[in-house]
Amino acid sequence: MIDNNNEDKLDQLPSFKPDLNIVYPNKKELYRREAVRPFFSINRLVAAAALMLTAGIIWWLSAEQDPQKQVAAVGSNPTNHADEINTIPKIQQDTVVLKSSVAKKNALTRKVTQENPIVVANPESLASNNTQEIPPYQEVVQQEIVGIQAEQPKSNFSEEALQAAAEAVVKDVAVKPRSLEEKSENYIPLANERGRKKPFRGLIRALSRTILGEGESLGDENIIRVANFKIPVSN
Amino acid sequence: MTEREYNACVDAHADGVYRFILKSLRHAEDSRDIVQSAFEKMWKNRNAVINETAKSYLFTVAYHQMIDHIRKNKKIQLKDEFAEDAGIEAPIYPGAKRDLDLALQQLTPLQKSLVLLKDYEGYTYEEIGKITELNASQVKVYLHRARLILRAFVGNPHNII
Repeated sequence: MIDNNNEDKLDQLPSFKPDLNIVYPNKKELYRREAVRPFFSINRLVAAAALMLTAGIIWWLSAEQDPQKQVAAVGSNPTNHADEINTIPKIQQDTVVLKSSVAKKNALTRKVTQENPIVVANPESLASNNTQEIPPYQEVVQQEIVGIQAEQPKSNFSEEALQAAAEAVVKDVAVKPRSLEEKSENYIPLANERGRKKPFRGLIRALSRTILGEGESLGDENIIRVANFKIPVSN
Repeated sequence: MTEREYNACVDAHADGVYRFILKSLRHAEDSRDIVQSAFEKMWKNRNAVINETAKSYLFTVAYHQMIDHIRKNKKIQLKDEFAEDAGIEAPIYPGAKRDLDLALQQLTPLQKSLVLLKDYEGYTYEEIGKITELNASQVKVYLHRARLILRAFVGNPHNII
């Protein structure tokens, strides 16, 4: 240990003085400046774009479901489209008939009844109906003739003329036994005929089915089936 | 520590740290690198560094980096000493200043740092102890021994001539 007396002796020992001529050569490289974060950074722009894209997809999907609501409104309040329904000479059960096709008397026929165009049915009966085979060409022509004769008031047209007209009507419709998926492919364009056509609608429809779970069974609830749409109805 | 305080610290202490390291290492490029590394480290840790203790922090970092550098480059230093012995001329300083510089090279790195911190920067024993991770008593003892070596070297006429 060094006592206080020896500390005085230390001052008498050789000591150094700083050489002030020695300076750091490039002091500018030591200076720093904090990085300023720009308000419109790339991350924020990407997040905003993703948000807008998501909102757009949601809006698009919701707009895509409008045709369903429109068809459902016809069933629940027929007076809104009374003119359309009245122009149909004979509406058949489980038959898809649209405004344009009514004008041409184009119809996809399975059963002929005199009841309402939209009926309440349960899923089992619908499934059985979907598996039924569509009658061949000649039977459809005969049904059309019978329908026209039964519906239309007596006119000056002869039976040959009516038959020719019925054949002309039925010619446009490809009548052949199809599977349920094939029928659905025909129904979807007809159902969307009223709405606007959009690009990528097949992809969007598949997404909406996945997101909204439309493929799930509805259980024992009663539904209204219109075109390719199943609308649950409470008792 | 804010950006402004850091830049003020560069203005105030960059020369002092550089002088201290250069006197110890006697190599300008390495001294610049060590000073730059020390300031870089202080900038990265500026949120944890208090402005009042910035100088002490800077010298501590620089001192430890210098010790690491000396350990890594021991072989190179030995080669330099061999070159001096082989007859390569050393820089000539006039008078007592040259003698002191020659005497300083006789000290160990720790003794050299203690002398320079005490004489150049005027640090107290406690502050030197914090920088070199010694207690105040050890600093006093090591410093006293260093000065004795210096006096012996300077007082010997053979070393002066």
